[in-house]
Amino acid sequence: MVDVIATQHLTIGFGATRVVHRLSFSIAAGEVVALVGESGSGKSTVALSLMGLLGRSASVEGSIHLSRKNGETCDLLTLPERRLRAIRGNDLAMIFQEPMASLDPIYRIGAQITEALAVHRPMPQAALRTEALRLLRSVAIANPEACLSAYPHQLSGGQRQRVMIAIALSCQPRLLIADEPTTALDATIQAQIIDQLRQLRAETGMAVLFITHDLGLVREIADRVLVMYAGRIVESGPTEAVFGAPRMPYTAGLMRSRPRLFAETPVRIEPIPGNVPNPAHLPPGCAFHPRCAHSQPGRCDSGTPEPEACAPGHQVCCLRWREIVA
Amino acid sequence: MLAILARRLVWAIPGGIVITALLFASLAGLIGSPAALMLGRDATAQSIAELNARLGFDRPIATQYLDWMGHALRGDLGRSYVTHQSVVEAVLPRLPVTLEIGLLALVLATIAAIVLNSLTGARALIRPLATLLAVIGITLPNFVLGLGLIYLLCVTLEWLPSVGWSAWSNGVPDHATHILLPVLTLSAYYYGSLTLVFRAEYDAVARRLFIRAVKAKGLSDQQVSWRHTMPNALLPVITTIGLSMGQLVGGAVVTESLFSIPGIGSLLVDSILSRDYPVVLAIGMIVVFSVVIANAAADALYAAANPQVRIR
Repeated sequence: MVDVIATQHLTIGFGATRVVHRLSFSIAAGEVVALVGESGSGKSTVALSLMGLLGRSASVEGSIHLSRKNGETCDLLTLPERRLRAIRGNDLAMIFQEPMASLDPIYRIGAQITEALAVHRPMPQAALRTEALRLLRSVAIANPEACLSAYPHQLSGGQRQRVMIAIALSCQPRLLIADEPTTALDATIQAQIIDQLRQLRAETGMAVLFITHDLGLVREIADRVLVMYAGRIVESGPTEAVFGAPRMPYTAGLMRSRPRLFAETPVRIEPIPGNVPNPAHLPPGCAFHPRCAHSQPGRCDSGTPEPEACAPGHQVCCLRWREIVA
Repeated sequence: MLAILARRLVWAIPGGIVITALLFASLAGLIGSPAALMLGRDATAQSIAELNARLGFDRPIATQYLDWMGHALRGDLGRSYVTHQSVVEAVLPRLPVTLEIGLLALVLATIAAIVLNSLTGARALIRPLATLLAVIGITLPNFVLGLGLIYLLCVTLEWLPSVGWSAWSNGVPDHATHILLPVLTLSAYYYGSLTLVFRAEYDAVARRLFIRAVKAKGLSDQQVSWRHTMPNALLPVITTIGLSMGQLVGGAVVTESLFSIPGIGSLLVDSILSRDYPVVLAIGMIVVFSVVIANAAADALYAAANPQVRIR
């Protein structure tokens, strides 16, 4: 399958502090990839860098190759801002964590849905309206006509996130970046939105980068998982492989720290001790070793682990993964 | 919007009564016996008392106020002590002059403050200049700025006629060249305060999450600014304009005196200097009501511009 997006050695820094280190990953057409990690691990920074929305204070190195709808492949990091704008909202779209705050309070929903369309595919006003109605129906808004003329404050959180999804889908993007799209929503609404996303992915064949810290969601929606820790991908692979046999102690720790409501026998929640390190003062060696139960002095605190394949498609960054398995 | 306006205007009535009463009482207290003023220093106590009795100034202040209010409601604001002209006739022809200069200054200041502070990219490089102008506008007193402009443009460069007034009937070019400097002078302070209010709000709006979501749609920085950041930052500007509009007459005092413009402001100065009590009172009343009306209009406009207030 064709990769929609592929990063090579993506490195992001703010001033002297590097927050993302040599990240390489790719997402194929139609694939749902989950980017998982604790808060502060650099997930949202990666998402914003793909969109080119990090702002001038960030320095981004490496490459981000995107295969566009028109068949062209380009490196987003070398494109001038003018050409990036033609891609943003068109080939690449993003939905955000805070649906309550992500719509402009002074415009009606209709105008906000058609805004991206009007920029990327100019068409007459009547056609825009028809398209907006179609989009609202596709995200299962109950009364699309009333919704078009509503203001954001008149909608519920779930409705607003549906509107955000409709906006993101308006130009049929190749890749949808969903940055914790359900974190701010009620559990029932959360399930509806996830269903919606899954269904839309099946209909449109777009790729999805799903950013979350909710491992339950990952198991439901993702084909592949990238586990991030302190700005690095520490384990990646097919969802079933990573969940079934996590090789990196951090991934295993994340799994054990997750509440499991429906386990047959009650399972203790074991939080990972300590906190995500400050990116300005990363520990030497493996960044996880101070919190790791398996770390060996003189080994884990000196050499930085490189990704190694432990099974087909399943990669891990751990110096001791072979010993730990045994 | 009309309902809000109507409600505010109804509430303005008791406010107007209280404020005119205070104005009336304080002027009466300050000026003392009007008859003594009118007759001059050589007047005898008896002639003063006679004139006071004839004009009704021997009555209690409350009675005088009610009497004045009764006449005012019928459109009669009395006669000037100095020219014996009807106050309404003295004030009304000067009102359009003050309003024209004031409104032009306010419009100019608003447009300049919004446009200069909504630019992005390379054009945003003029922002330090816009801020410098704002600081100058706020800190430099009107009479200093006005004198500076007169010296530069009228005396040194001889581009404009210095002072005085030219009515519309003398032709638009002549009118425009006479009105330019007073409008510029008066707009400087408005520009400064509007810039500070708008700039602070603009920066706050620019940090809100929906701006990032709008950028993700592929809009250019300037489109994001014109369509989203700037309109959202306008709300406090509307309130500030409402407050400034109320001060138009007050703000005109210095500028009109400086440029010898026959408006309300210069009339107020002349009337105070000659202790022309009825004229001062009438102008005070105009100021009070223009403040009330401008604030009511700003509230209504604010509601119209903000869907969260308009639609509940």
